[in-house]
Amino acid sequence: IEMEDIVEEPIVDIDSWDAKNPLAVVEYVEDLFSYYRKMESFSCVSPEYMTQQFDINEKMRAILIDWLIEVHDKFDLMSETLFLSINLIDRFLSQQQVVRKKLQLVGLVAMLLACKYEEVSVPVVGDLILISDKAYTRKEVLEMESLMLNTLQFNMSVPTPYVFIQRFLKAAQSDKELQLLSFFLI
Amino acid sequence: MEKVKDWNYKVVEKIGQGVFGEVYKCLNLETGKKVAIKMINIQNEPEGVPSYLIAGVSLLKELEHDNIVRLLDVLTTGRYVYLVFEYLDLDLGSFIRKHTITSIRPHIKTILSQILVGLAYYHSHNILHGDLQPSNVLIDLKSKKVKLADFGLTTSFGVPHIEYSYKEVGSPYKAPESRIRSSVYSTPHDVWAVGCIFAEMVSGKPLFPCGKKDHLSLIVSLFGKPTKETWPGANYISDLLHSHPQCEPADLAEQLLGLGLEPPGVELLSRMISLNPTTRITARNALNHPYFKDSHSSLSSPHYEAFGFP
Repeated sequence: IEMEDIVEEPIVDIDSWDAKNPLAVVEYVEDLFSYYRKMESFSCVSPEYMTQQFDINEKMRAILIDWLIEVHDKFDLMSETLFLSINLIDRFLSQQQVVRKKLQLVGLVAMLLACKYEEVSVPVVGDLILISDKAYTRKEVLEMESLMLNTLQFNMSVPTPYVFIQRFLKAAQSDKELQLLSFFLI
Repeated sequence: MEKVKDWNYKVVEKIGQGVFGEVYKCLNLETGKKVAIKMINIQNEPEGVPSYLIAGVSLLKELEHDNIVRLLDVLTTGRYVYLVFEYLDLDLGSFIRKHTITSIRPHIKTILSQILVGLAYYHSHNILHGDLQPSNVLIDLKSKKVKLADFGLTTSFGVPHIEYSYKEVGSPYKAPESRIRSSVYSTPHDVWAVGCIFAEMVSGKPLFPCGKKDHLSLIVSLFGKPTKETWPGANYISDLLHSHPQCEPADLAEQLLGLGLEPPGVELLSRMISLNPTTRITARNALNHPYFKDSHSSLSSPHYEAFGFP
């Protein structure tokens, strides 16, 4: 084969059509994602962490997250908030022993903190207590909040799978169907 | 503050007090290093730790720069949030008070450029300092480093302020536009404060001293009576300005030249304290100003001329 026969498909500059949108910060997008990539390693936990918990397991985590997805939907929150909540839960559980009875509280407080970090309007503690069928008191929620903040050292700005999939979907010049499928998979 | 003992810190003294809480100088008993602990009261927050603190602290934790004090640790008891910052013994305020202007003069360029490098870093991360003044500029004699801090607690995390008239209260380093209703409170505000600090290093005294005269009168006597052309903010306070007599601007340049500041320095200062915030020089551009040409400090070469203190 002659070298000239191989036509290299040019890489599409996926940011060119956003050049005029100041909110897309095209100028900084490369820096931003290389930073996300660097920070990703700090935001991930060992997939084995559950083995160190004595009272809870993966199945309970799955049930908790299914429930949080419902809560998330009910409060009409942004996607980023859900991914951040799950990240906070995993990072917290990899460092603290939690009994079965308190697992829902961990989920609730993670969502509260994610909302405080990410959302413009944050659901009030009272509503969160109501949605958990008054399983916990305000005092318990606020104490868990302090414990979680101290455990995570207030580190809330972590890149979640959401930011990466957004970028990949943009690069793939995806349609609606592919987007929905990818979000379902992650 | 009792609580910090549990975390192995010993309180040395109180160094600041504000609306949001108190600041203490402490000693880390493990490492022997000095820290400043900012204690923020959240007892009256029914919704737990407020969002601005969570977002603010998270952001501060990401900042890492030679010319900014590092946030080392954050702890909360549910009643207070404790922010543990790196601390240096000397601040620029005491440095200016303790030395004569002739002994300060050789260090002005290096101090000013490091302030600007730190500030440009803040601004590139979209953060306003909001309370720059000599006491928030820390100096380390050993490493010859200057670091920006914020121990005033007058603002929490650079939350934009909306004022309803010309605000006389607050730090004398506050830019005029931040004292006026509906004006944009942004990065030029910090550059104004750096300009004030610059002038103070040259003359040994504050450019706009608190006390006898109100801030607006000082502005009028320095710049002459502002018009809406020289200062778009003048529109909002035309009533207030009305009572001020027409006057000739003071010749600040002449005074500063007399105090030994080089002409490019005078030019830079005038661009830092431009009344109109939109024409005020940015921190980054200030670093490329001819005034710094013969020093080794610029954004691209972060090696600062060491300064030997008397």
